[in-house]
Amino acid sequence: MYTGEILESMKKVEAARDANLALEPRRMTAEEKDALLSAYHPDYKESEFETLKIGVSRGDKVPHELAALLQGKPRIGAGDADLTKIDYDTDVLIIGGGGAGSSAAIEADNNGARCMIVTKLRIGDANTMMAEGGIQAADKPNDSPAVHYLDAFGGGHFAAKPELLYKLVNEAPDAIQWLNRLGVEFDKAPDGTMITTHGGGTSRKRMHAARDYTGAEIMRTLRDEVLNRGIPVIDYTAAVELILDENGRCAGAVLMNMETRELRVARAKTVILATGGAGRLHYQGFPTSNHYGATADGLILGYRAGAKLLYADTLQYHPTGAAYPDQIYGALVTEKVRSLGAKLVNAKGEVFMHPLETRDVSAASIIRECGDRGNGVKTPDGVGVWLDTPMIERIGGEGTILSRIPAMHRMFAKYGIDIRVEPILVYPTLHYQNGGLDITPDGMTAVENLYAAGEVVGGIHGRNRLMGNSLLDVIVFGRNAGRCASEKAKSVEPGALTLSHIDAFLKERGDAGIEGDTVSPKLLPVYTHGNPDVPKKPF
Amino acid sequence: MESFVDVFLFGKCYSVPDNLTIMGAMEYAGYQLVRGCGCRNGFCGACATIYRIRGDRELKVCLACQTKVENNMYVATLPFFPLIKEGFELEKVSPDVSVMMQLYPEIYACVGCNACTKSCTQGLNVMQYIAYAQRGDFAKCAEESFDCVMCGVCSSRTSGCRRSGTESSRICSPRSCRSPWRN
Repeated sequence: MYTGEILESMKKVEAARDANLALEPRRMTAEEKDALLSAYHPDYKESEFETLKIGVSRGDKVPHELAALLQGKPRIGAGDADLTKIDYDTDVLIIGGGGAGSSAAIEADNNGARCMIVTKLRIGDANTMMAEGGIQAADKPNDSPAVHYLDAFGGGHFAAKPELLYKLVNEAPDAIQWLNRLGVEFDKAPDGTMITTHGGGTSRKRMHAARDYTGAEIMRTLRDEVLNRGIPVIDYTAAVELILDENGRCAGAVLMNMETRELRVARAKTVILATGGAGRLHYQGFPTSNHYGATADGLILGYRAGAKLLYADTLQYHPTGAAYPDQIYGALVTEKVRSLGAKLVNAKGEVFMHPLETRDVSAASIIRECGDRGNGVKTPDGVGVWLDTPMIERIGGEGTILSRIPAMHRMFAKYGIDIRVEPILVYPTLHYQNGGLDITPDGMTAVENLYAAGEVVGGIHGRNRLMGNSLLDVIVFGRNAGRCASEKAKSVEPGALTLSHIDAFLKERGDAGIEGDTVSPKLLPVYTHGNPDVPKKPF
Repeated sequence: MESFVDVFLFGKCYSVPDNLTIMGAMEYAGYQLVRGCGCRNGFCGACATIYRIRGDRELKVCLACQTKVENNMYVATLPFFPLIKEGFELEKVSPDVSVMMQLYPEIYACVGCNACTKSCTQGLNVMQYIAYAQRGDFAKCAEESFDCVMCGVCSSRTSGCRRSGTESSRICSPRSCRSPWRN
């Protein structure tokens, strides 16, 4: 329900809708984009970053919030866990129960390995579950992995690791096929052909979707498969430190029961980090579209054990987070809304940009519109621009919203806004960690026998990710890590377990003069919603 | 100017800002959530919640992350419910009606009270798609149940199912019994 100034502005959007529908906004030139990004994108705000003083990536620039954790105090000391008492013994230990972890488990199981998943919440409590818009794969006659590569490479500012991106785009069609066979109900035409659409920065229609529950549909299918196979899933159990062997190879993890805080020891021949992203660190104070558990745990665990980072200074701010009402502030409004034809409109009713520029450019453009240009709509919590959703029904016909983006309709209908007839207010929200742990094409980090897959990895997308390439990434690299880690496990004999890297890390920390009580990994964020009487004690 | 409402979390009264969701109210009151909190955005079904407004005879259910607090709201969360998840091999099951009879016989004990539909946090027509499942019309069942977030509310006794405690209250989480007919 809109009132006051918001309602006044909405009337301007309505009045201009016919003209705006007919308009084909100009695409920005490369120079315009560069200038826009450096002036307005949060990644370019020098004061929000600092240089790492310790660890294998010392000298790298990362956000303050991440630096505090990467250089923070380990949750346990080297003597806190009894490494002679093995609680879980397995071939492949998978840390994280989202899309990447589940895909890895299925492939490790296919390869005959014993594997298990540990997750600090439940299997499926992950950003994968929340991915709405779709998954890219070049599987239509007018498309090819090469074209997909060019789109993603350009969209990522030519910074992607070529060998990783090559793998991503080439294994994409098979990933779709695999999911389809597992039972994912993709949107299909009556003859069974998959329906594909555009996303920001795609030059072919290669976005496959399952309504706007694409990630949820994929996640529940993968979860079903993991459970059907009887793969052990240890829930409400976080990894708080990796265990190495005397040769410096990864050989397990110390686990902590999230409810009782009891510690357990898991020994494994190989370990896969599939812990996801970092939205809940709220870089630069941004709201986030991410899951409750997205606290960069895998970066912390990996880094302390010696895994290198890549592009940890690049984050993705999704251009369209909900800006109103405040109960859903920062929640994701899928890019599919723009794929289906909704345009971005400012407070005066003007279309101020092409709706399908890449995400970083779109986010920067909205920030500029609401900032220096003063064309934003004031909301109780901040500011936003209009996303003119009724255009979708005009373009695709009545009923398009309910059949293609029912979750979006439901999300706003709960607060009295019918997106079929009223536009919605949006502002960028912290969405994705472009950077992360550096891996080789077989998924291994700089630490032997430590693999990584999913959002915890950096370098696949370069410095900006296109829509639909992260669901793809968790499937392709999750499966890849599962296959490679289980294969490697066949020839691994773990040596004596040790946590001596904690002492080495603490010494380096002390020598560098780093103080502060921040304990890491963070595991969960703490919210008190401004209650002055409740202490904001970390989890 | 912020205004406040009284919310009773597990019976204990807290005064909280009226613009918060139930999940926000719990955090405002000082709870550090571990269970019963997931995506915080209505997609994961982790935060199934039961509530009653004082003076109202009806017991209501919702997702805590998607529901605003009201004055005199009595809240109990339902972070876990013992649902049944049967195993199967997708390549081996055939999409005929016997699959449901074998895996989820309890759905045939439905007496049609429609409490499941009334309780659905996603507004789905649950009884209808369970009826499709009973009949082996799997395509329609999959279609109608597609937006399910698996919060488990429809399966819980709290939905007011009149056969509570009998077999019919064990209706499986509808989406978890949906896989056999997919192709």
